[in-house]
Amino acid sequence: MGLIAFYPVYYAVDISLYQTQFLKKTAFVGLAQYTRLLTSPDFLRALGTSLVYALGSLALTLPLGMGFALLLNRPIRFKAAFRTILIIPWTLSQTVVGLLWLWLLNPSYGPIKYVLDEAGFGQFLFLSSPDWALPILVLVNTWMTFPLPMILFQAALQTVPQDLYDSAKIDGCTAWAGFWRITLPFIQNSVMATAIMTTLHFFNMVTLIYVMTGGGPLETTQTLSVRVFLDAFANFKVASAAAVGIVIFLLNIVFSLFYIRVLRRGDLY
Amino acid sequence: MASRKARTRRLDVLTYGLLGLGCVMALAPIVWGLLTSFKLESNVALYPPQWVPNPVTFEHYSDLLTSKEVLRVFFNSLVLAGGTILLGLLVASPGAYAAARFRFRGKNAILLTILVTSMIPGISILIPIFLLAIRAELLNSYVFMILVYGAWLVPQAIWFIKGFVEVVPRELEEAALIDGCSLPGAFWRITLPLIQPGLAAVAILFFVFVWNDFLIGAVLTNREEMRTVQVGLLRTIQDIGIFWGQFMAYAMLATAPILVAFLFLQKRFVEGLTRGGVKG
Repeated sequence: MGLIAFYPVYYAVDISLYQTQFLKKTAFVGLAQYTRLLTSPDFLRALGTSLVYALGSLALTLPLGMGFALLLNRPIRFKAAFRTILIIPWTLSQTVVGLLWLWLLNPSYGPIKYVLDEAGFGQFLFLSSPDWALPILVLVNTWMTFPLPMILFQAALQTVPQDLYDSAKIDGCTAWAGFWRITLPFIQNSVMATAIMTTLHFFNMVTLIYVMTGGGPLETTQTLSVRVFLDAFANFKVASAAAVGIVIFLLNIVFSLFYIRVLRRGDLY
Repeated sequence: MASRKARTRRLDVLTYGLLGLGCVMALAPIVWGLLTSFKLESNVALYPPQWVPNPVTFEHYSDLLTSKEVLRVFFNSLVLAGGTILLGLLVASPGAYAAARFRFRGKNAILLTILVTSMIPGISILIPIFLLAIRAELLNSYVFMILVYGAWLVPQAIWFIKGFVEVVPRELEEAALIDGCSLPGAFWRITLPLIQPGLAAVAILFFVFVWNDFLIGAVLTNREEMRTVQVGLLRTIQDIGIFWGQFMAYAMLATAPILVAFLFLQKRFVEGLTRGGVKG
């Protein structure tokens, strides 16, 4: 098992140490690939884009997921129906989500353009705008991902004993303070684990961005993972793609180590 | 006391309002896609947009469902999903059983390794997998793709099913052993039926992953008749140009199986998410 899974990793490292031409290794170049990467402004920009995309999405999905989880945890009717509908965006594929939103955001015929026009906004370029493409992608990503933290948090919230709140209420604790002082500390492991898991997911995402912008305009949405995909499978710069892939892998390891520590510290389930 | 009641009331109104708003936001893009799929292509590119299709047409759906290429693409994804579920359960359930029940040297190390493998980012190892497929002439192969999907998903499935095996009372299996059942027999007759909900949840997660995957399908196929659903959906645009009415119909068809599976098997689905999710 381990061998099957790790061989490709070894192979990727191996390729990244060579010069390649159309999928063939030509010469051993050692770490030259990496030194070139680390000094290339393109790479650093992609790294920055990845960080903005991942952390921006994180900053929106987690609070949104937590908000809906808290709402769903109140004693209300139609709870199951609300939850079912809210999960639906998460079940869609990134390809479908990308196409749906491309169509919604269509700069000539889209309903969102219509609403903006009616509201009196001027010309808006949507995904063709270098300033707006990345924020829009973050929003679309949030739309499709928030159900995951929502479900995970909802499950975690059910483990918080009710009597903690009861005694806090007697002490005059407000709901807001109750959330920060009781709820959050009680489920912090789950929150941490979810945060790291979704961050990894965002770092590694390709399809949604590829479908919606292909990394453009002017490479403003080219994250590291999109760059790997384009370099390897469109531009056939395999070695440099492999090297970027390894960098992503290292980033993942850093996050994962963190994750395992969180898992070990507390019993989540 | 009255003010408290009023506050609860206000809070309720707020809760329903926000949840309702959330549901509208969640559904609106899908509804817009659905509406578009019933419009004549000539009514799609209108400004201001035509909100309700008039006339309603089913031509996009009938075109797609009678197209050999489209049917083939759906068939491919079905085969891949089915194969992956079969292979995955076949490998993961005995693996999970061993992990839950047996003590052996290096068990923790192996389990941790399995967990770590599931954290290897897909995009990083796609290149070596692609090169491997080229070298071994395994592009466009069901078997190879199922192996790749399986390798991707089995580690998580092992952790997930392990949790289900652990709650099956050991005494039940021991009783079967005393009655002359072999160990594999006890696993097959006692444990497997009891962990069925777990297996179902894993199967659904596998199905969703394979059906919704674009990356692996795009990289490991280059012949049109071997494309998966998501690849087919996107490549149609690149091949024939953009016809939003038809695309939205295609996107809806590509989504339907997942949505149906989700609506009918929701409980298992959510279970799979919460437990499988946290374990990696």
